[in-house]
Amino acid sequence: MRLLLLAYFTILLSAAFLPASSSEVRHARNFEIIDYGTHRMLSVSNAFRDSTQIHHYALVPKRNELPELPEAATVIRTPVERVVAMETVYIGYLEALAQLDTIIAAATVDYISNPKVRQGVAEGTIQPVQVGQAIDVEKLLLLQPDLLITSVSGDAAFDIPAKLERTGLPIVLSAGYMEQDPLARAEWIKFVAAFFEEDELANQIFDGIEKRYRKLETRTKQIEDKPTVLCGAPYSGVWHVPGGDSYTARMIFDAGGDYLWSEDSTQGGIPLDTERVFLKAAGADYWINPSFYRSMHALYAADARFAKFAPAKNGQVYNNTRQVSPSGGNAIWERGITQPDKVLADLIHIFHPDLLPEHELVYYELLQ
Amino acid sequence: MHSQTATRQRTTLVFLLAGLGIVLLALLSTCMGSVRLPVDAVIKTLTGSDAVEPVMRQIIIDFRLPRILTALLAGAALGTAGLLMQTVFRNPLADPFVLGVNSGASLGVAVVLLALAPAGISLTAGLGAKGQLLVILASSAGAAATLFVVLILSRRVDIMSVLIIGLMISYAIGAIVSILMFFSMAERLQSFINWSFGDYGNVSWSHLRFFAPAILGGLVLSSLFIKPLDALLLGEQYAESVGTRTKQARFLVLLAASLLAGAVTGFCGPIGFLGIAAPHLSRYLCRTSSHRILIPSSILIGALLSLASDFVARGPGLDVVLPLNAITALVGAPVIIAALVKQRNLKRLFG
Repeated sequence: MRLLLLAYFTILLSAAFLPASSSEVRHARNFEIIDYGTHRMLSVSNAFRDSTQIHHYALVPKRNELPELPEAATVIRTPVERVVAMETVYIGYLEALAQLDTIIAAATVDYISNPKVRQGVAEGTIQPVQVGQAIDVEKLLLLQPDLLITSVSGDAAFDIPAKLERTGLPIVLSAGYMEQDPLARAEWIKFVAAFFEEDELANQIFDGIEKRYRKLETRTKQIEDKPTVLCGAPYSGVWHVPGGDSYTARMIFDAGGDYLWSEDSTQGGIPLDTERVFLKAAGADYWINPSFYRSMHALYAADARFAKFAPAKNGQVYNNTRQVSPSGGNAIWERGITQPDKVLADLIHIFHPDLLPEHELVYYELLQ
Repeated sequence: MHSQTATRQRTTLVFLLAGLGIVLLALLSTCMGSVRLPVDAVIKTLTGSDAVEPVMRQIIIDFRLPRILTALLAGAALGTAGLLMQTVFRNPLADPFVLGVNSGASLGVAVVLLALAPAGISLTAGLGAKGQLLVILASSAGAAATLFVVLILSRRVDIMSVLIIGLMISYAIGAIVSILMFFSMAERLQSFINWSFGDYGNVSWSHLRFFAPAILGGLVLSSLFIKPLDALLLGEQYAESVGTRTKQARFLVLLAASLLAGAVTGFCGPIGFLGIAAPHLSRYLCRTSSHRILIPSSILIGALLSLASDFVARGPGLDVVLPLNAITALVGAPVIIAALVKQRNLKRLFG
C-alpha cells in the first residue's frame, strides 16, 4: 500500500512537468494549478516566510466521482457555493469574479470596505465568525462552508488555531501576500477563480490588468530624473520601512520613483530608528504611506519633528487612505489588489504629474 | 562625630561621581546612537556654529538632545517617585510598578489608543499638536486614580497588605487591558505594544514644554517634604508626635509621586525598575535614610541609570532601538539584588 502511494506521488510529481495546466501562471510564484481531467491539483508554497511546506488542494467538480487522491491533499468540491473569507483581501478577488454572493461568513468584518459585503454583514446574510481575536469555530461548523480561505503568517499566536484545523472544514491557505510583485499578487485571481471553475474569466481579467499595467510601466521606463521617495511612518519611534524587495518598493520603482531603500534586499519591513530614517530621507522628494494618518495635522500631532522632512515642508506627502471606511477598512487592500494598474497610475500621477495629467487619484490622497 | 563627617564625604563623592557620569554619558549619547556622528560636528552644533551639515545638526538638536533631556528627567522622576512610595508605604518593595501606577497608566493609554480608536485618533488629530496630550492625560489620570484607590484602601489594612492590594489591582487592570487588546486590530495593537516597550525618543521639544515643568514641579513638591518623610519613616505615631500632619503629608507626597510617575509613563511608556533601583542604590551608596540626602541622590542616580539604559537600548552601531523597558530591567535587577545582598538588613532603614 505504501509502495503504491509512493508510486502515485512519483507520477504526481512528474505530472507537474507536463504542460497540462488550465491556467497559465506567469507572475505568481507561490501557486500552481495542474489539470488531471477528473480533477485539478492546486499547490501552494511559501505560505509564510521560511515555510518549506507545500499545501495540496484537490479540486474535484461536484458532478464527478471522487477519484483516488493523495492523502495529503485537502478535497474541495467545485464550483464552491458557500465561502468563508477570513481576510478582506479575498473580497477583492471575489468582487472581480462576480462571486460576492457566495460569501456566507467573514472574519474581521469591521475592516471590510466593499459596501455590498458590508450590507450583507449588517443584514445578517454574512455571518461574522470572529469575535476579537478569537474565531468562532462552532459557528463555522454550523455554517458548513465548502471553502474557507485564509492565510497564515507562521506566528502561532495569530494563525488559524489547531482546533479549526481539527474540524475537517475545507480550509485553503493562500500565499498572495507573500508575492512581492504587484502583478503576481493580482494573478492570485486565477487561484481564487479555480474554486468557482471560472478560470476563463480570471484569465481574461488578468490579461487586462497585465496589459494596462505594462502600458503604464513603459511610460516611466524612459524617465531619467526619478524623484526620491520615503515610505511609512513609525509606531512609537520605530519605523518599519518597506524592504527594497517588497511589494511597495516594486510599485514605487514601476511608477518611476527612486525608493530610498531600494538597495536593501529585504522582502518585509526593516525596523529602523527615526534618526536613521531622517539621516537618509530628510531631503526626499515624496513621502508616501505614512501609516494611518490622513492629514498633516494628525501627522504632526503624532510627532512634531515630521515637519523637518522636506516632503512635509513642500506639501508632498501622500497616503493610500482615500478609500478608508469609517471603521478602518481600506479598499486598497481589497479591490486595489486586483487593480494594481490603478494604484500604479496613482503613483505615476504623484511622482510625474505631467505624465498622466488626466488621471484622478483613486486610492491615494494628498495630505493637507 | 567621626562617622558623620565620613557620611558627608561619602555623599559628596557619590554626588560628584554621579554628576560626572551623567555629563560623560550625555556627551557619549549625543555622539553615538543608531547613527554615529563625528565629535567635531557635535561640538560645533552645541556651540552654535553654523558650519555643520543641516541634517546632522537637526539629528542632534531635534532628536538627540530632547531624548537625553527626557532620559534625565524621567530617571530623576522615577527615582524620586520610587523613594517617596517606599517611604510612605514603609516598604522596600514599593515602586510605581508594584503599586499599580504603571498598570493604571497603561489602562488610560489603552482606553485612548485601543477603545476610543479610531474615534480616539480623530479626536487627537483634532487637538493638533497637543494631540499627544490626550494620551498623557489619560495615562496620568489612570496612574493617579490607581494610586489613590490603593491609598484609600491602605487606611483600612496594615501597610504590608497594601502591597498585596496594589498587586491585585495591577492584575485586575491588566485583565481589562488584555480584554481591550483582544478586541483591537493589529495596527492599534502595534501602537499600544510599542508604547508599552517604553521609549524616550518620542518626546520632542514641543512635548518637553509640558513634560519638563510637570517633572520639575513634582520634584520641587517632593523636596518640600523632607522632614515629614523622615518622620514618616519612623512610623505614623512617631510622625504625629513630632507634629507632622501625617494624613495631609501622605496625600501630598503621593500626589507628587503620581504626578512624577504618571507623567513619565504617559510620555515615555511604562519604564520599570528605575523607580525601585535608584532609591536602593542611593541608600546603599550614601548609607543614610535621611531624605535630605536621599532625594537628591535618587534624582542623580535615577537620571544616571536612565541615561545608561537608554544608551544601551540604542545599541550603538545597531539600526534598531531595543525595548527600553527590557534594558532598564536588565540594568535594574542586578543592581537591586547586589544592593540587597550587601546591605543584608534592610529592615533597619525602614524602622
